[in-house]
Amino acid sequence: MDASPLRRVSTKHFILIGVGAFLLELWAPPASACTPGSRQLCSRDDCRPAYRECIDASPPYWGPCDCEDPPVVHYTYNGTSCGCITGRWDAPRGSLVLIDSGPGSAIKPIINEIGETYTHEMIVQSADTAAQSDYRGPDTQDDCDHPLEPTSLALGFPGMEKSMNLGAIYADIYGSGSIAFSPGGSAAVIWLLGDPDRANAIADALDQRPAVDVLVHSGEYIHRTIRNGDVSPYGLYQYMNIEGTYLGEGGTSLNNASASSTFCAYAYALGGDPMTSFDYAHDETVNAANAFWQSVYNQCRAGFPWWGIFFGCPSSIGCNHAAAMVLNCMATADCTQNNNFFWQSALTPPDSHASSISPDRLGGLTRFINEVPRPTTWATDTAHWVQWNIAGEVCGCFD
Amino acid sequence: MAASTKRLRRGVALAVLVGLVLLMMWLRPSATERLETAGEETRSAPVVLAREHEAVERRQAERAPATQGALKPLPPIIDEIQVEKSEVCEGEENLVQVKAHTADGSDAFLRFVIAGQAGPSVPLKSYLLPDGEIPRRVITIFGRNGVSTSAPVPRFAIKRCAPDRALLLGYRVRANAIDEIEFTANVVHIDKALVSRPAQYRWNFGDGTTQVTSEPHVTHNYARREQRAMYSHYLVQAEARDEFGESLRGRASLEFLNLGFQDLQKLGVVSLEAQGMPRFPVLSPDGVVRQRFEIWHSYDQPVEIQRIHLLQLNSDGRRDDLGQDAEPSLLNRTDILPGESVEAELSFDTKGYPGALALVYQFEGTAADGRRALGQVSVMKPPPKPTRENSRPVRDPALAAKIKKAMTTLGQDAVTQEDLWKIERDERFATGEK
Repeated sequence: MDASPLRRVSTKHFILIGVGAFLLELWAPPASACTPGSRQLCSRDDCRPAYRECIDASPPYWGPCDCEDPPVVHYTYNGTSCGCITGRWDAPRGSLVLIDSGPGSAIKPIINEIGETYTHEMIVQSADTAAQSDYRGPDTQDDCDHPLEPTSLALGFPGMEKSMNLGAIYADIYGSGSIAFSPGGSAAVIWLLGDPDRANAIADALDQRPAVDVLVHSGEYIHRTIRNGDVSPYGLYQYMNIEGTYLGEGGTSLNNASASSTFCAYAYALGGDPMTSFDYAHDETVNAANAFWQSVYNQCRAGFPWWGIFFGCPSSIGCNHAAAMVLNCMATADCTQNNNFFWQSALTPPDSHASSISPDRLGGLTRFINEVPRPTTWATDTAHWVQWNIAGEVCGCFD
Repeated sequence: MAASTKRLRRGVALAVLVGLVLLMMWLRPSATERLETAGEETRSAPVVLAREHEAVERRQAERAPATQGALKPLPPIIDEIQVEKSEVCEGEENLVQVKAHTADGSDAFLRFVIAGQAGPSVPLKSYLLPDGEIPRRVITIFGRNGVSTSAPVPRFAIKRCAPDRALLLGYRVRANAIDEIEFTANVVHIDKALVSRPAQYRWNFGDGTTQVTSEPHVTHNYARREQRAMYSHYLVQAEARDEFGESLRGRASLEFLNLGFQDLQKLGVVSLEAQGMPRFPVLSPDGVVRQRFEIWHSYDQPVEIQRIHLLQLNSDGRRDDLGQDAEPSLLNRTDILPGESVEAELSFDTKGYPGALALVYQFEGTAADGRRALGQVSVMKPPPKPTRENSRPVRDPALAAKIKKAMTTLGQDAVTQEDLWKIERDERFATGEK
């Protein structure tokens, strides 16, 4: 199998590869809906959050829905306890915060290849909370044919979330001590407001969206936003096809998925008329896909983390499989395939192209500065640097 | 019986052999395919491609993607592509440099992307594909409104070897510091057990300035750069030297989107930028936050500040127009010349604005050519000192230990997230831990 994304594949190769891929597909493990030992959020009237545990994988069998209410413990260290206060930013309510995560971002090669800059964005709910769709990265598994766990690629966690704590956001943007030793970090963070009425309408709508609380660390919850009656996981396919996400509530997408920029387009529609999606040219779509493949492959080969994960199979073959899975997930929405044939085939027709909404277009920036009418009300504003009243959080210890 | 079995085996072996030969012939690339894939194999660095790409450029000009609602500009023209080394080991840096121009005079919008990385000079790291092939990568040059020209990265040999060590150069922006970048250099050994402790780091920030440090990190400010194009690019270089004089080099391509230039193109507005000192606000015992701000612009005409309007940012994130102006005398000068800055002593009396998180000073002015100039800064109320009653309890014992240690080390009664990161980073350097 030729892994070089730009190599032209002749018809006879297609036939041979197709047969091989079909056989591989037969051997590919099915995506498991229930991994024994894993927990899933469930609802109870008397407590929240509540969880049930997967007892058996096939057929999926879940245990009872049990309350889990971790006791609040004021930890004592050498006779003292410690506490923190989260900082605040000056980005106004309903404004769009745009972040250029620099070369350390997993998706920066895609953004570069379409001639754009910003890689992540969120919407301000208040001076100390925000909403976004984010991805903690796929899970790895001990299988060099399928180094990435397909379900964690297809249904990226956490996806849409709201009422995020600014301490966590600060850490995400400016990086922790360990991130300082990996190549890259945020290069710029700005906000755009535009029409304050529209911005407030967006923030009001986000405030009102229902959410489910999910425990991610001891005592730390995130609030997954409910869209169309269910959580909205992060989906790489949103880069290729935004589907109905930008239409707001009621607009559908595969797996009810969103990405960071398509979430903002969704939220924009909650506050008024939706924006439009944008058709990227075939060549730039192919270039972006190739660069993304190279990025995943190179990070894997170098032994560096990609989207926060370390690959378990850093050989060329294992990395080829990992990169193929990511690209198949993005270009074809099939996250189980480890063969480059599928995404390359999907992008071979000259009319194949991505149709989505990017961070830069939300803000009417870079290649979209001359777009008329402006793509959003945010796009009518000048750029403002985000200011903080403290460097993330301030912490102290007390007797 | 034995003879017929032998004949049968020979026959089957012959059939399998013939089948294999036919299969290999079938799979062998045709003459046309060989021509298609051989085009760039023979080039050696440096490579000049301007003439070779004229035909490509013409074709791309005909089908240049149009940004919705905008005029269709001409795509850029690639003048030259240079590759530093003709062969490298897997993972070894190889600098690729590109020169380009536009035919319609819109060079200010040029953006260079080399194999997915931004910048006209990119240290590329390469790895062979599973079949031993060299990856095919693309150089894309973008012009105004996203029109683009592409060319392949010239091929260079990649050997199945790995450098025994490398210097990784990372960077990140600092909060509340416009375009102030913190760089880190980290020596990575292929044999992870080895730990290298360079005695000196020589930094070249790509803007004509250099610095020598004994620690693997440094900050550098790019805020006052010229902004006569959409992007500014710098090739940053770090060289680590150990006590025996051995050195190791790492490079990174650094790109800034010039917000001042962009606002000018997008809205015809001259943006005013401001940097506060101290970087984070401090509340005085009298309940007033005082911060000095340096204010500048990147336009080529003088700007006169005529009005300082006041807004209030509330804790819920809403902003209210206070219907008040501050005296322009807060500024040490109201005219800001190109390349220069003015200063303003701004304050926020937190008792006078109960419930407010910040007082927003909105500067309004006019450039010498009549363009509108705008900018705003927030003087924010810092959070209170944490107490048992007002803080969120820390449940992680390791974090609590870090906080306590940081308070002792820094001699402070409270520490920030940034303080904790700094101590963590310095400890890692001191112990050589990666």
